[in-house]
Amino acid sequence: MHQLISNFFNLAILQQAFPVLLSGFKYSIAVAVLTIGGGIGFGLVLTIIRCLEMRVLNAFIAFYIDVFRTLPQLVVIVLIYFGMPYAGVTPSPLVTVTVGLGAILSAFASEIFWSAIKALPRGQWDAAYALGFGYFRTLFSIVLPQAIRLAVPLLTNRALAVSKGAALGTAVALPETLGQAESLIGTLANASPLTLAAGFYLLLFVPLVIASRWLERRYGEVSR
Amino acid sequence: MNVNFLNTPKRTHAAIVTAVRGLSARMAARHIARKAALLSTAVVLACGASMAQADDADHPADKPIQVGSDFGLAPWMMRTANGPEGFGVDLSNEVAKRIGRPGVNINDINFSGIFPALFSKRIEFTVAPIGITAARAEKMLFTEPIVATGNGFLVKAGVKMSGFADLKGKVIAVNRGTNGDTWATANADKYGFTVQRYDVFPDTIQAVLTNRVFATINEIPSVEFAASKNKSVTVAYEDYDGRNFGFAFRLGDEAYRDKVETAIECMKSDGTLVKLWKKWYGSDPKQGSAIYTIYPGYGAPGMSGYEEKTHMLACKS
Repeated sequence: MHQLISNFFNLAILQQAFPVLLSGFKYSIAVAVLTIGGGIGFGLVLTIIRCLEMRVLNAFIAFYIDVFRTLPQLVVIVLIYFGMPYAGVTPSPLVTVTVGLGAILSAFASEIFWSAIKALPRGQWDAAYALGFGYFRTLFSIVLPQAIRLAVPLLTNRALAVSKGAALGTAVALPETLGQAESLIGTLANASPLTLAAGFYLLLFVPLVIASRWLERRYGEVSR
Repeated sequence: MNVNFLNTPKRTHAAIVTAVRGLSARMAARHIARKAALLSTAVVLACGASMAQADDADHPADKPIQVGSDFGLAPWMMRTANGPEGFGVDLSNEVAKRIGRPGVNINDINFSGIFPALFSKRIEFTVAPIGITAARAEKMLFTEPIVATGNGFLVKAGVKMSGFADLKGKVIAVNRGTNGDTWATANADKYGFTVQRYDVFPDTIQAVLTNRVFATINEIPSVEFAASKNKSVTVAYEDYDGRNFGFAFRLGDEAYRDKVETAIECMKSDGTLVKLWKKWYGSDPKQGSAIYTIYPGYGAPGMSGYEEKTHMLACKS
């Protein structure tokens, strides 16, 4: 037990590590916020394009979604970071992680929105047409608001899972919390910075979890 | 006379069921008590036994040695289809032979994970090229210096670097947690460069090749080898700062450290170590450096964990 405390909860090392990890925390926050915002936004755009029912576009979107849902997050990030310079573009670590994780989240979000739209009863569309609504007016005024309500619990779940991938930024030199912690573990030969990094991640994601539960409660009530 | 259980009157039925349940409950209780007694005796015996054999349990004589290293540092340790090979692999196999263990199992652990692995007893000692520093020596036991090293700066072919002043305004890549990382972090402001940290050495070389960074810092033998194998990079600058590699053990493991160190000293005295170096690095090691020197006592002189016990070298050939 004493060994566990001195190796993982060593107070002197925790104090030493705190400012270093704090300097990396802003990167973790930036990645989480940008990934969730960009990912869900782009996912919604993809779903709306899918609603246009154009076969060529649908094929591209289906390909995009299948690729980004199946590739592991680390593979996407590493490919973008180390592969794109050979194509002429050299993205910074922050851009790489945000674009990579955002693409993955948008693929999942697009599928979630699509299944939410399909889950609505056919009667909604029929009633709207009967009242003289056109296709897009129905989509934006009647169907999407309900579909988004249905999608909220699935989206928050998936958003949390993907944005935790910010920690993978350590593989591409993103100086965020976990990366700083790993540096210190090697230098100080003690694993306490890892415990502190875990604490920082809880600090970032527990509020997100609470916010997502509030969202689900507020908007998740779909009355039939 | 056949008594059909299901046709017996209800009250009798209930009485029989309760009796049977009670009987089986009592039997079950006795059964459980017996098992518990056996189990607790076994646990107590095992605890007693394991406490008596704690040292041997960490270093079982009939099993291969569990060690750890980063597999990305050529030619100390390189990944191949048949497992790792390199200077470090041959060194570990020699050590295992000389201390009487049936072999060696090298676990692939990258640098940031190697000390946690050592302290949590997943490995018995480290065989990665780890620089002996005073800060680390407080937390673990080192063997005597095995090989000399320092900071080597690897750059893209054709780039020149004459001194630290050339680093001003540049970006440097380091392998997270290594001595290169420590040096770069401590000197970034002094010489005016910024640092990018990668998990493994090959990623830092990629960073150099894709022009993300000006140079990468790593141990001199590693960068020399990388430059000899890859014509697009060269070693621009070497800073032998008196640092040496050694194997790291847990505190309290003095007896085992002494045993392994004796094996290494024997390898130095009969020339095996230099022969292995020439095989993998292709050149002679620096004259008079650690690889030729047998240090008195056990451990790294001047560091915590050093014991002045002079001992005679008793080597099996």
